[in-house]
Amino acid sequence: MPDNTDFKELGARLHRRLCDARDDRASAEIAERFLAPLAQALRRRFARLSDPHLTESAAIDALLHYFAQPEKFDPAKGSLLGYLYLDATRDLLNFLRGQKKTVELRGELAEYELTASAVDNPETQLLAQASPLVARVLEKISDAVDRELVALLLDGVRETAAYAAVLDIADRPPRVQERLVKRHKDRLKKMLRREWQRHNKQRR
Amino acid sequence: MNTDEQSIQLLTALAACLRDDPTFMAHTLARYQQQRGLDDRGLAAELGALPEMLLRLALCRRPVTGAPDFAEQVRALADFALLDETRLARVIRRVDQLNEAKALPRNFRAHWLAGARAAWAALAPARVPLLAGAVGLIFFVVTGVLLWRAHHWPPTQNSAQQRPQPTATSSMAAASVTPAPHDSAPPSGAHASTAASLPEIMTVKIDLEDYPSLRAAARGEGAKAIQLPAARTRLSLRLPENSGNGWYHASVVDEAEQPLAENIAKSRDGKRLSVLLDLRKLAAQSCRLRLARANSAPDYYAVRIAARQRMWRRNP
Repeated sequence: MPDNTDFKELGARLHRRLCDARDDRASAEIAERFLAPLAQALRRRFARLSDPHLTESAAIDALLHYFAQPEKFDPAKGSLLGYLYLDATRDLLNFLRGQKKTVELRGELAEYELTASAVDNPETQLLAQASPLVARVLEKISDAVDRELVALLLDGVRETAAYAAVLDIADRPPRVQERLVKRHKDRLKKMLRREWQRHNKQRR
Repeated sequence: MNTDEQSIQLLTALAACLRDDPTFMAHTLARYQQQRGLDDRGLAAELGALPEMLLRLALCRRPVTGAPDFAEQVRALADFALLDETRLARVIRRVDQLNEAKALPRNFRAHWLAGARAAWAALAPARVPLLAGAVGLIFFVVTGVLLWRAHHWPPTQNSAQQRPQPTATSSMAAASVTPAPHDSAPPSGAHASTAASLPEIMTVKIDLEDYPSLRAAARGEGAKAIQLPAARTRLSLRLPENSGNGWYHASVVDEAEQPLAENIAKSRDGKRLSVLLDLRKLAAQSCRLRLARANSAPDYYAVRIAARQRMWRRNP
């Protein structure tokens, strides 16, 4: 399992990509990786909340704020998960103060504590897992090579060489590699589409 | 519900929030669905996407159409969501065309008004005689039309009585059906013409306290069916007491629990919920309204789908 610095680095890397106007996929990756752990961390902190649904709304709102103003997060100051967690916690506490309700909280869990205890945390375990969307798609593929290729596609890998290595065609000329990789990508997309259509027909 | 399902539910809720942000694909996909009258399943079929990947696509930012690397960005997005790049590019371009078409009349109107203002300023010295001439001309034309109508127009019979009311309350105690305020009322005359001129979105107000859930009905409290039109319908629900706030998944399901129409919406106060359901493809039938909040058991209500025309006729 990757250590804490990897998770911090993961957040920083995704943040850099989000700030890059040419990368349209970073927001989806951030949401897939961070939303569930964030909601889980908030649920644990606000365990006595009368409406547990509030924590999920706060987690979603924190991501929306972040997507709207990513420049407010400074990777040098802390982890992305910690930043989102603090933002959501602040929102929730403000909301609860507005409601004038008394809530018993678990002890304050500052950002550095969250990072320090990360290895034992379920959030860390969740971060270590693949995105639930990716996992669902990979479940549908039985062939090992196809799984590797789809995993590369879902990871957003654009380099032909990575696909060529999986397909064992790295010794072919670059143009041939490109053509073959494209053909395999299209085949896999079609295969998954057909699989889904068949599944749909069976459900009906 | 396992962790994966919970995560996917959260991501779905996030994607629903991003529909309001034009920089995200969620907005583009929602506009396309609206334009083509597609539900999520229809959109997935049209794009050739797995439902999970459609959700992933919705969470991505939208490539800028005029950008020099637009084609490459679409290719990257298509690979990332396992989609056909041609279909994805087509969807983005269609939505752009729609936006441009909407922006055009506004620009045209602005230019026209600016031109009119400039002309009016140029004519400043001659304003009074010009105004007098215009008023005289309008008076002359209106008088002429009224005189012509008095001599040639056939008399109408009780046309005012036949005119359907723009706002109609159904025969049910708590539900009322109202065409959306931005839509025009049907023209005067026979009901036969109403199907074509019915508003696009019907609003149905329902106080769920007046309708026992099917669980309560099973205890012998009597099932009373909510009547809904086979149209794009905004359900304006007053939730039962002790309902919580947050995200709700509302769906109309058949006997086999298969969703016939579905959508998610957020209730901010736990008292009211407004959700849009596309019921146009549904035939007149009995089914159930399923209302589910995350981490809670869903509630079911008996629903009867009525043909649009029938419902409209009954309600005035």
